[in-house]
Amino acid sequence: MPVGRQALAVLLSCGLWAAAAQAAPEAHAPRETDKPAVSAPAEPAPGITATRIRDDVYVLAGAGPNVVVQIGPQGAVVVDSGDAAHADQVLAAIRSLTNDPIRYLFDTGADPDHAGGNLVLAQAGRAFGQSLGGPFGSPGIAVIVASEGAAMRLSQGDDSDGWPTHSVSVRSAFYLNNQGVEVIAKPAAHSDADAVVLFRRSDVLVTGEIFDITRFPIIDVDHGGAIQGEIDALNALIELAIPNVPLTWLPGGTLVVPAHGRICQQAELVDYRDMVVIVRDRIKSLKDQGKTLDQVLQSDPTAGYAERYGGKAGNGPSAAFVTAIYKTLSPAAEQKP
Amino acid sequence: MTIGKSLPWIRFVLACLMAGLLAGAAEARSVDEVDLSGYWEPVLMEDYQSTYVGPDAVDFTGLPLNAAARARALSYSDGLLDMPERQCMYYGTDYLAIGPFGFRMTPESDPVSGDTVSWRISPWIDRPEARIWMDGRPHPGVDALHTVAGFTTGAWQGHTLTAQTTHLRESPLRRNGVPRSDQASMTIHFSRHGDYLQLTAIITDPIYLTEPLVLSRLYRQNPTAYLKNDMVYPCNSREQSADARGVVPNYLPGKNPLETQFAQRYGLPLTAALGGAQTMYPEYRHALEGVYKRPDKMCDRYCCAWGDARNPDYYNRYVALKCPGLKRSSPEVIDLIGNGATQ
Repeated sequence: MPVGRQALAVLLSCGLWAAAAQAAPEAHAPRETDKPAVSAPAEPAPGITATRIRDDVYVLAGAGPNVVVQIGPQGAVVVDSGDAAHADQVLAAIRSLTNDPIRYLFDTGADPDHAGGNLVLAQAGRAFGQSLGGPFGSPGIAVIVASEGAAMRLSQGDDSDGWPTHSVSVRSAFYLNNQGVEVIAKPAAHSDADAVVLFRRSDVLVTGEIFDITRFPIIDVDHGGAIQGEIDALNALIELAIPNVPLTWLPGGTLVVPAHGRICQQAELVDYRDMVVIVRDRIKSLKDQGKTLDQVLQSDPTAGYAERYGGKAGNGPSAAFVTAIYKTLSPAAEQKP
Repeated sequence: MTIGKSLPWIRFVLACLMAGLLAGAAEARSVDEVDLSGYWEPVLMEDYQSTYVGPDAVDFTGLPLNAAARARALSYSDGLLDMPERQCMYYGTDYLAIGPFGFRMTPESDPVSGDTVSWRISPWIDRPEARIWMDGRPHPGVDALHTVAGFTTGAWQGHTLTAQTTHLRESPLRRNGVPRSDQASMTIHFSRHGDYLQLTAIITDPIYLTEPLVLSRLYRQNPTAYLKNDMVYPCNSREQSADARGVVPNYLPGKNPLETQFAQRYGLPLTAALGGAQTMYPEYRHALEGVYKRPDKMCDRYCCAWGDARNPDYYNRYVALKCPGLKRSSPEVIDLIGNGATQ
């Protein structure tokens, strides 16, 4: 072989070798230690996604509001049952997470989209002490816990299996799956039936309709909701949630599950509360000047926030929010922060 | 052919194979990977007043704000910063490009393959650590947490590291109350030119910006920087406001007492101070013809940087560059620089 062709062949083989090395970079999967705090959602039932937010806590989305499931050695603890139309899918999603019975179901409110699946989930559950029957247990169904207001409204259906069995006037505490679970009633916020649920060891706070990262809060005036109660409840949620202080630069802090939308933390509760208070302050100022509701609506008191939390000021969620604030503003002498 | 005569060819082949091996290994990692590691200190040149010493209240110039952003920014009160629940809130990762501080970049390698798994950008006292994942992992889903750090992935484009950040929590776009929403995203290009690092950030926000905001910062590598470690600051909030808990300081529409202050100080029409996309472009100067009134004094503050003029290190590092004729012993030095307090 002539020397020139020999060298060319060597160079060519070197080049091909290098090209092959370039074309096949070593693939490597994310390491175990790099797992994000919130895992990618899975779809355990048609239309329902399950996102694991703590080792033992999942958020189910797709059945109306967020449904929270905490699992452990004593069974499943569920917060909200979703709407009735998706109850079977929610149950299937829970079954994909655990075969243990649903022991407790906590309702954060009485709205049909939050408590519509009560009957299906309760009947698929089993209270502790079931074998005793009679006054010592509720055979065949899970315990349903709700605020007094919610219990009053929900105890009107045909099938009492879907009614709350335990009502909360101020606060009730349970020790389930090796952790404290607090249910705290928040009257006159979104409605007269609100409750929030705090999983103390998992450090997960479920807010119900008091906090909705996707939109302005819905203040259901016809069912006892009021702006001051909403602000009081948001302030209470801020106190319950703990940010990642003092090591602020590290991930951490209480996880907050809003009624709808993604998982949040205390800072987002603060942003949301501030938004509600600022809009309230604007409307109060206008109302104190004697402006009518129509005049207030036209002045666009949600300016700066409607693009994020609702539609245009003149209609949709913004108008409903403004109207509810206007109607439920307390007289100046009674106004609290 | 004798062995002696063939030696040069054997050497050549071996050299070629070694080169191929080394090149192949390097190419397998990344075609154009550049070493970005080290401490990068800011070169105080760009957006000095809004980034470092300011910004002034209601200086929204050069920001492509929409009406919603402007309405929120005009309602902003500094009193918010005194609220216990806000005292320990960090700025978002976009504060890399918005804020005044430097950072340290450190690669994290896979111990087996040697590939760069991520680039760590050190935290600062008001900004979290940012990590640029280089291993091809996807961004989290829509229901995942949004954080001050966000979630960032990167890839090399030529010699430039391009990073994409999503899942950011709401944070100020400028420290005078201009908001950046949690639906914003950011692209950052890191381009190294010798001892200099050019950072170009492109922030898009469908809620508050009418078009992308492009920011650039220049950094210089300083292997002997006074900051060699991550600058972290444990934070505990305190009651330091006279307001009752739950009061949210804010200005009602049309009631911001500082609304015209910046515009008046610099002889600008208020519309210029209130920002908008048009204020980002050089052509906007034509819109100011006839309405811009040049201030009587060319410069009455921050003229030669800002900081503690008595600090010789600060003086030599910054002031001497901007005002080389100004001596530390000059009686006007405090007026032109300050003594550590905002003027």
